[in-house]
Amino acid sequence: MSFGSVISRSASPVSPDSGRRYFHSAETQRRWTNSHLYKRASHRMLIPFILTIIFVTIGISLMLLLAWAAWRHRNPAPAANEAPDVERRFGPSETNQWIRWLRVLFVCLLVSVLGFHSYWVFWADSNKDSTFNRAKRLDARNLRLAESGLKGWVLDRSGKLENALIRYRSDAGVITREYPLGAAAVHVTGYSDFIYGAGGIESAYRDWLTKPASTLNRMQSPTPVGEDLRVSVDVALQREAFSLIQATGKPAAALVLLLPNNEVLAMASAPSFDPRAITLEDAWLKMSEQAEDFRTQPLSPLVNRALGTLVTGGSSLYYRPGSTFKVFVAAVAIDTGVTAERFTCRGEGFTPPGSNRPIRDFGGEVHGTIGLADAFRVSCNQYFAQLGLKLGKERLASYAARLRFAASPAQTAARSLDLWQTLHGDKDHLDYVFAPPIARMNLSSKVTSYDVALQSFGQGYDDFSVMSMALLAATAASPDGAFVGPTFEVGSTRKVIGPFISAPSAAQLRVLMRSVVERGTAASAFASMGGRITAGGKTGTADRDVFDYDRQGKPVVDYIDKDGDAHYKTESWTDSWFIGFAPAEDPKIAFAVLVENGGQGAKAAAPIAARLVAKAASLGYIKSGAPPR
Amino acid sequence: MSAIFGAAFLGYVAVIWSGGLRGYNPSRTVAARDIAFLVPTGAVFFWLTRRQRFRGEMLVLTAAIFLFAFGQLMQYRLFSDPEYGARGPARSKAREAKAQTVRLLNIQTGYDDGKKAFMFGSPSAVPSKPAVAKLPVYEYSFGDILKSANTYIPIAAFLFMAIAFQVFKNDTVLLWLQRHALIIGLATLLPFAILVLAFSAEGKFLGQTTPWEGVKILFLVSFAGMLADTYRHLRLTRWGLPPSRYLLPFVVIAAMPVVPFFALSDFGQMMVFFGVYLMLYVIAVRKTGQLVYAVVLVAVLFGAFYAASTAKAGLGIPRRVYFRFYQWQHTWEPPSPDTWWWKPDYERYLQLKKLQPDPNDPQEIRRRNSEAWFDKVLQPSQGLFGVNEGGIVGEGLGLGFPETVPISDSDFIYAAISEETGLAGGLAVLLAVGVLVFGGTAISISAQDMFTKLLAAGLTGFIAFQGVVNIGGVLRLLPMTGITLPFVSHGGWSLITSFGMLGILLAISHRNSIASLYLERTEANLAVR
Repeated sequence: MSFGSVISRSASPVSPDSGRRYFHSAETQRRWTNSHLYKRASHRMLIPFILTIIFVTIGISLMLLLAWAAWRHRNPAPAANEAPDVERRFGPSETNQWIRWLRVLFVCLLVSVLGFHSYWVFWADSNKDSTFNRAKRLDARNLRLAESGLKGWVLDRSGKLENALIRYRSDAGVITREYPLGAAAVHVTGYSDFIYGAGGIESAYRDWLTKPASTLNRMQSPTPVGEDLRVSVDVALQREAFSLIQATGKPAAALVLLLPNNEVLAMASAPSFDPRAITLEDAWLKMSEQAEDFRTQPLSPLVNRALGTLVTGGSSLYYRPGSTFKVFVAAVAIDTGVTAERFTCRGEGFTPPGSNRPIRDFGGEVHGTIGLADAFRVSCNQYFAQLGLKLGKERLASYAARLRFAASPAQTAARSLDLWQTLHGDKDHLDYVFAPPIARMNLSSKVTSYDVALQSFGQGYDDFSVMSMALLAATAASPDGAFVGPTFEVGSTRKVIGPFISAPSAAQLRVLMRSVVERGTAASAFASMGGRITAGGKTGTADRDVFDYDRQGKPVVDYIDKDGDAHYKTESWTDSWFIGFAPAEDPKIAFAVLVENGGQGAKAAAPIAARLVAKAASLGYIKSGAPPR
Repeated sequence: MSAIFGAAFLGYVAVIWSGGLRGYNPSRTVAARDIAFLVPTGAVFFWLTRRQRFRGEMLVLTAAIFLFAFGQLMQYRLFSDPEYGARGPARSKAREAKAQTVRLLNIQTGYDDGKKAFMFGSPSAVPSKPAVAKLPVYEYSFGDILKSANTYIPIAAFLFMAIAFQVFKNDTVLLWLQRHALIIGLATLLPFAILVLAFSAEGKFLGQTTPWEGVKILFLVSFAGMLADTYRHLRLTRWGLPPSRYLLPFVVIAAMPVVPFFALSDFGQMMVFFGVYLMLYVIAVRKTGQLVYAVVLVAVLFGAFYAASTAKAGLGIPRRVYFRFYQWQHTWEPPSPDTWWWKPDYERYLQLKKLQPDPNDPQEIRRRNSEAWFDKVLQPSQGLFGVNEGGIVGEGLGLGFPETVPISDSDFIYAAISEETGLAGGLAVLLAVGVLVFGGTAISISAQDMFTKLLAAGLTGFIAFQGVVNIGGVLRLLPMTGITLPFVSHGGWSLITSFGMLGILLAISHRNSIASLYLERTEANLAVR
């Protein structure tokens, strides 16, 4: 397995025309330097502006009047005491014609000055990528606008001011933008700084947050108060999610979606950073240098592990989903009616045709000859390897396409655009910041049956993000089996991207997933709920190779080959996964939890998921009926 | 006059009003002082028409006073802004204080009671002034006004105008000046050159003043006097060239202002002098052949500069000239850090910022280089951004950000004008310059003798040329030169000189009108007989 599938290289770090130190490509920087710009109000402040208009009007009319008078008197009567002809040729009056030409010259000069003025007013900024417009992003006026403007507040789904995710505070009269959740929600809120740009919601919704909100205010301020944004995040759940994953001490992510619109209730990623860190220049530069280098990027707190992107947008990080991917294969099997197959799970493993490497189960477990339901409950790799081969590449690929998974390498290295539902955001900005990398498999004709077998239980070529797995869980949990795009906004409509499986198939799949929680691999983790809250889910344990880092966080070089390329030491990590939904009968929430190198899914991720479900229940999200406001 | 008065009043109200919205507090006293300046200008009108029985061109005076009033208004707006007035750390403090004031204003007018109460305890507890940094005080007392140079300079300028008028309407004086033209030129040059070589630093004398502005008038007088004397001989040409014994003194006198201004590296002035001298010569001699020579000369000189701007070596011309030529052509494209005229500036920037880019990292060098370059071209680029932001009618007086353009009260005042009053305000300024041109040339046309004719044309040309070179420099029509916009820019000696020139123009106009009056009378007498 090449490293390319694990860690993708970030774009070239610095653009040549940048005046400052950014860690992104030219394209990124173009968006990024734009992203902190305060949107200039299109109106003018009323009273002084009207006074100015009157002032200029009087000035111009007076000057026009004078010009008219000057035009009329431009040729004074010639002196009458003209000398005789011969002398006049040398006399002063003969010069007058040349003086008139001088006048013409100056009129031409003044007209060309006016022409240049018009150029800078009307045409200089017409081309968006012109040198002028690129230079204008460094305009010192932007700083003044940003400093004196008040962007909108970002409130959580309750809409209460004390639950704001981003707000302004006053320290004895000094107004500063505040992120009350700090590191717990920085991957959602992002941050905003004049020099270091913006990320998260600050960047994705900046047009809305700077859109003038109050009529009185917009007539009185050059930088009017922006619109508030109510996002679907629940502050209490977000805090709980972050503290749970942070407690693992490992890189981890948790994502909770509220059905049926797939509103993001919590999106946490660890390690994290305080949004105030951007003002500490050294610390910030160190952090961004770490994120800039593809080798150290996997350690970076700037990575939003729930999406696999940097908090500023750009770059992508993939995970292998492990057994949680069996949800997908099982869904395909159920929807295509391949549910009656029984396969044998042996101690010596299953060797796919055309290969000599056997596939074994975790810890060498042997499950015997079993059907789909049992295989899913005990998470049997050999069963799903054989099921995947039985289903075949074409069937898997056609269902993968319904969930927007790329099924061949040709479609890779892109981000899943137009996935998010939004009412107030700008689609481009939102995609730039929050679009997760497209989940990918490799089901092309060149791939051997061994690789297909591996991918059938979430290993091999499978590259996924936590978001794509959470959406898979949400799709399984949706009563109609439809694939629905996520959203950050309360009250947006359900964005159905397409059908995945039929409603009865989805119901059948939920029964399988419920059995995992009640009698299967996740039973012990969910035992504490004592059946008060029902849930469905799937554990996952995924192996992946990562760089070996030294104490300074630098990758350890193994050897340097004859071309001078460094090869790094690697170690094998076992990522712990859990995806699922609750309650089992009528799902209200779907979730995905990942703990990097957390060991078995049932050990690290499933207990976190169980606590999240309990917390969501205590907040009232799992009751039937409408979700709490 | 009353229209200017009314417009200026509205302008000051606008600035004070928008100062409140932008978080600073323009001084009412200074506004009153500036408006009061229009009283002596009105007095000048009365003095001219009643006392002096002035019958000449009033258009020139009115246009100049309009420009002066507009300039005062813009300077008032700029210096009211604490950020513009301050330097160093005080500057960013003032900026933050302004921003905080605007934020508080925004909270007062844009936030509902819930948010106000959440942030401040109760809706009525929102403070009106920021507590962080107190704004620097720009509230002047009456005593401050009396002590301020900004009060004396315009008054001195009006006085100088009146004196120039009195002196130059006198036949004897004019005759004397014409007779001793060459000596005047030389007598001006010597002390001036000594002054410049001994005391100047970077084109300024004793701080930020340029007391030699006034010598422009004397140089011009001497040139016009000599030309009026010998233009007949210069018309007699062989191969299109005048006889050398008449031409050579002109080359000498034309070179005279070049020497000290070269030492000052004030190339804007040199350019204006050169242009005006050439213009006067062509007008006086009026030979097409010599016009062709003049045009060729200008083209060759310009081409030489252009070629030299890409040259490897210095050729004795200061680095600043190369910088300005390059900056004129490629404002936002940094030159290579190895370029000989740019390297010292680049290294000084690195020293200032205490940076040591890794010599093996071309990307870092490129980044630092472009940082240094953008720092260097801050003034022209901020000016052009302002022109662009201003649009057709501008942001409104006091509502733009001309404080981000360095020295926008003098060299770059046109950028401030077009940011806050837009293309319309710019048009008003250009129209006023046009009126000056038309009025001045009309005075020149109606002048009876060659000396006053050339003097009037030269003064008109000087004022208009300076205006075009200044505005053209802001708008990238011409390279940036660092000369002021006559009557508009802030600057003591330049304002006094401009008004002096205006006084001479008015005096010549006065003489013309008296002459024509006299002629009319004689004709009437003849008719009666």
